Amino acid sequence: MAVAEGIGAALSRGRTWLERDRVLAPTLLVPAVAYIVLLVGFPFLFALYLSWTDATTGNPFGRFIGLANFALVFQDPVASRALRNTFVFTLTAQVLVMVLSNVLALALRRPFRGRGAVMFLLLLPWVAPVSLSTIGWLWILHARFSVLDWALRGLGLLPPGANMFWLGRPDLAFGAVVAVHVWRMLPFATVVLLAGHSAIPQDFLDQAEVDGANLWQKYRHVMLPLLAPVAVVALLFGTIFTFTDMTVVYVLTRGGPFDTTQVLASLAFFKGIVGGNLSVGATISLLLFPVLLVAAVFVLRAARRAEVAW
Amino acid sequence: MEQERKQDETWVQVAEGRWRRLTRRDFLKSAAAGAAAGSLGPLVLTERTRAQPVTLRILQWRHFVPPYDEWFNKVFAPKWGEKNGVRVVVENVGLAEIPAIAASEAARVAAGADPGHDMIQYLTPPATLERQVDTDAHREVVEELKRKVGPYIPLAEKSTYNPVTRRYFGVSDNFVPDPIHYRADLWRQVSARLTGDQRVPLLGPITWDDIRKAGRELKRMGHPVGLGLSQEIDTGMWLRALMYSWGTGEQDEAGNVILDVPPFRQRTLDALRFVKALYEETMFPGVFAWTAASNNEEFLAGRISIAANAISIARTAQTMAAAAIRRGENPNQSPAVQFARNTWITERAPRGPAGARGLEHVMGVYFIWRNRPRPVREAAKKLLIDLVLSYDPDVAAREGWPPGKFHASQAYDYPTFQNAISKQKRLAYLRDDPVAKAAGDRKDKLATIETAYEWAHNVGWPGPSSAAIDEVFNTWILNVMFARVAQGIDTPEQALDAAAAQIRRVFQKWREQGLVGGRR
Repeated sequence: MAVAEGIGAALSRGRTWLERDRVLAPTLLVPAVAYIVLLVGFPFLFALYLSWTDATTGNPFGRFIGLANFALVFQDPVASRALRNTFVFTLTAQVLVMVLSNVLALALRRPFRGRGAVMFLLLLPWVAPVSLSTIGWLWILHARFSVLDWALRGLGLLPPGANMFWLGRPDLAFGAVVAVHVWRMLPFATVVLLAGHSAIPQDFLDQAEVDGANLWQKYRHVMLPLLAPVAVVALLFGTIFTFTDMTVVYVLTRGGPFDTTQVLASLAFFKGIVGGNLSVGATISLLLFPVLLVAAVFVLRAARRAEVAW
Repeated sequence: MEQERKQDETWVQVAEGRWRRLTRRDFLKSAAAGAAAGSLGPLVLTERTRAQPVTLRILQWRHFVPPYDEWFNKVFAPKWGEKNGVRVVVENVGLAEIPAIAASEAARVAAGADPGHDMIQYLTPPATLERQVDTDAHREVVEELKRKVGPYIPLAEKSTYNPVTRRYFGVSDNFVPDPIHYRADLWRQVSARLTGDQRVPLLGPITWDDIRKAGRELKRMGHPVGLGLSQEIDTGMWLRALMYSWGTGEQDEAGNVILDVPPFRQRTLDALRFVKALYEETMFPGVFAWTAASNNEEFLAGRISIAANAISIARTAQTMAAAAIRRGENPNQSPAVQFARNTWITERAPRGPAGARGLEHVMGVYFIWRNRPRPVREAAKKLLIDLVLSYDPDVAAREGWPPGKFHASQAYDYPTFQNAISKQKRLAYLRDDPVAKAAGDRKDKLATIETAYEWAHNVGWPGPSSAAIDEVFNTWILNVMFARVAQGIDTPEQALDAAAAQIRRVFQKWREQGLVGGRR
């Protein structure tokens, strides 16, 4: 009995100790910090180290060579093209995602029959593994057996037996990569904006309506300002995901036709892992860092503003 | 002294994949400490020092011919393991996954850790990994096999031996020839139609010019030529074959970059102009979106008339025909059987101005990581030797793992130790090919593949398949050079200069690593 009481008292003391802010906060933070240090911080520092060496896959520690890899990368026209493509893909995709997600969020604001099914379908691209869904797109855009071509032929927009060769023409391949990015990121942005919509007090909208505002005016002057903080979060997350993604390009085009869809992440993989030139691959991947750093700062600021706003 | 110390050492397996090297003195000290540790000691030390069977962990590709994996995984590996007291664990993965796995394992080897596998089969020459592999073990295997079965073909030597470091970074057990496949029925029609200086041989293309001449007609008939111009392996192979047949290439024998240096510059420009014309006259825009599967998909769908590939197109057509016969279709009327019968391969690589030079389609190269304990290393060496010896069906039957490597792969894996299975036995199989017979096809149709020994070259020919060549290949520099000219984006001169500058930067980097020869 006495032992049980002793254990109970010890547990209670332990619980009280754990509930102190000074103890509880670090305890809750430790897993996240450990995760970031081990899976983000260490690889980042290692990439930084590699970029100053001549490391290869067969000699992964290399020797110090200063900034030679950076000089090599800046002389490389493919790396310049990949850098430009990374920005263009990301910006184009995100502009489209923000426009379309706003439209979808507006449409899905109010309950209607089948809304759950629509939401389920909408979320599918987000929950499906990216490599699997991109392989699906590879077939949709296949040079010969494309279902899009089949539909276009059915509609009389393509002559019988003709194909668009979506991934074989630079402009169409560009469009295809952007379309797959939009398809992937749209659910996330829509769900975030829907959450923002649900938090807008109905009184504000009713008041605007009483004042004679039409739908566009309500959206422009009431919803948009209130949605801005969450929309910025969706935009920045989408930017980071698209900017760092290599799967879409790797599976769909492998950077082709003739490097016109190469992005930094895919080029880093081809150079560093497949080509064995680890240090140059790491250097290329580091070109992503300044942009991601700025984006991360904006995400944090936007998140703080969103907290203040609500 | 060092040698004495090594002889005095013994390897003790402490857990699966984890070994510790102990000298006899360490071993005795551990045993004495164990005895003194009383009841806990035996639990720790007996477990650690008890002899355990050697485990050999192999990573290799999921073979294109599924019966090969059946044979290797279910017959050869277990029976060989039983016979040699080794537990063989085989993991099969997709071809494209191997480089990333090998790169991460190389890092673990460099850090002195267990890589996860003891031996990996690469499908291209893994020259970049040379520092982390057991080059001595490879040399021992090659020398032993040369003693046992005779010469190692130049294609394999150039794909596994680094003349700069004088080390073998791998052991090639096979290469896969890369002939041209063509639709014999369509070709015959075109051949009958073309006359004068446009004439082409009745029995398939002999030169690249034949392909261009007939290709124009074939395209008009709705069956264009299908040779990729994108960033993938098959494109890299046929374009190199064409360059080598034009008397140019990435490097010379010593490892100097030559493609833009006279007289090779003019030959490279000629090759670029030829490919542009070939694309415009005989192909279609889909070749810029080519994938490694496109050859098979487009040919077997009846769309294209000519493709460069391993014998996989012919084999798949035969498999489909055999399935049709099993379903009860009449071989003389079955479309699948007719299609298989009309799928032919050329006798040799197509000839260009400088010769008929082709490439290997894939190069099977095994390597053993350098930090493997001696029992594992010895087991890996023995397995490689026995695997090559098992090409011979009589040896394989005698050892208890029939039908042997050549027959199990349905002649897909061609021996790099050419006499591992005699020419007579290879031809005996190919002239009475069971796969062709089951498909109602001509039973000796693929026998001409035997000529590959005369025309198949390594990537980087006439030099070795070095680390620089590997990077140039895998970053698609030549593929992009040809594609940009074919699309009319760059002139041949612009594309050549841009590619040569990139290739020189790659070579310079690897030269500084001491892995590649040449000076310019």
